[in-house]
Amino acid sequence: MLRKKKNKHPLPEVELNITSLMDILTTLLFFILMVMTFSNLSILKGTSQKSGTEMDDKKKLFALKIEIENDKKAEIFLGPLTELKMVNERDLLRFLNNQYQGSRDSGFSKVVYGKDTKQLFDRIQDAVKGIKHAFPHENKVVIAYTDKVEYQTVIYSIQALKQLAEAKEAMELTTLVGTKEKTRVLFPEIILAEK
Amino acid sequence: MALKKKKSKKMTSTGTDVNITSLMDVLTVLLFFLIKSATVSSLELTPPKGMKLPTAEMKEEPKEAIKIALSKDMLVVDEKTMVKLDAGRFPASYLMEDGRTIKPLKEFLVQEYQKKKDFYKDVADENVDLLPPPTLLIQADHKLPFGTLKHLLHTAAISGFADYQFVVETPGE
Repeated sequence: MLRKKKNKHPLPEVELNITSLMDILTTLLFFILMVMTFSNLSILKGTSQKSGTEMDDKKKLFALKIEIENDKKAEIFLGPLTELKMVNERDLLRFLNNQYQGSRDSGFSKVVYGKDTKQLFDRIQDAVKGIKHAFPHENKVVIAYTDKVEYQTVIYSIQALKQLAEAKEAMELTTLVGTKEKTRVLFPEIILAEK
Repeated sequence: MALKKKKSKKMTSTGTDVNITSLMDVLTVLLFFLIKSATVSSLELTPPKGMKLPTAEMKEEPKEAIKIALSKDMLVVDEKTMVKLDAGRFPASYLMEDGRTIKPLKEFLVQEYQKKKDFYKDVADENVDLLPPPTLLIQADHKLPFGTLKHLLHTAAISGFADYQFVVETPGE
């Protein structure tokens, strides 16, 4: 006759008290529900041109200005480079002579066209990246707009000149002291003006 | 005769086990979702009706500031309508002689700036020139032309509010 084998060493019954865990979870859940806000709103910072004291002519300042004509055309102006501290001037001049018009003493300019807003600002970003490589310590750019430019284009321009999009590769910059850093930041201080 | 004890038929209650595995599952998933997606902010930013804000991919936390909303129909400051626009333009009666400064907005901002200066001097006892520049929270319709917006920016700048926070919509993650 077959006998059922009895398990001689049954596992002990264990009881798990999860009352406190449930307590914490529900409390935390209600707390978060009460204080949170679902918001997809954010901000972009900008500033306006401030009047100040007269400039001392002997002091040369970095001047980068972008004039947005409409959502398909813009012009970039870079002021004279004399007496400015920069990284690898030779590379910068090579870049500017290839892409811009002008000279070291009088400054450079370039007209940028795009078939739509996105392409326009992609091209503007490519055009200023070379300048950022030479001036990693400079953070200001002036953006001037004509009256017909839409506010959405204004926002795109601020975004495009502040930093590179997450989808793009970060730039490797060499600072004035020789250290290298990878960054997406271009010119975070945006000064708005009218053309 | 021995009394037979009546054996009462005990009503053996069948133990009801509540399985809360799925409840725990839902609670923890909900909790992690809320922790990840929620933002805790005391600043309420509700764009006026009919206004579509511009979109941008960058995210920065807004700071408490005077809220200004500008659409092609009106200028609203701290939820009060200040100026009604005429086909997207400021009526000449609301502009100063330079044709760029919005009169009622300038008066309001100059007052607010003075209040900040007085408060800073009273509380911090500091040189008011060291007062950090106050900012404005600007909400504007995405199709608004810069020609209309520039009046607002110019008026704010000459009233002491040279820094702006432009409210944008960020696409969902």
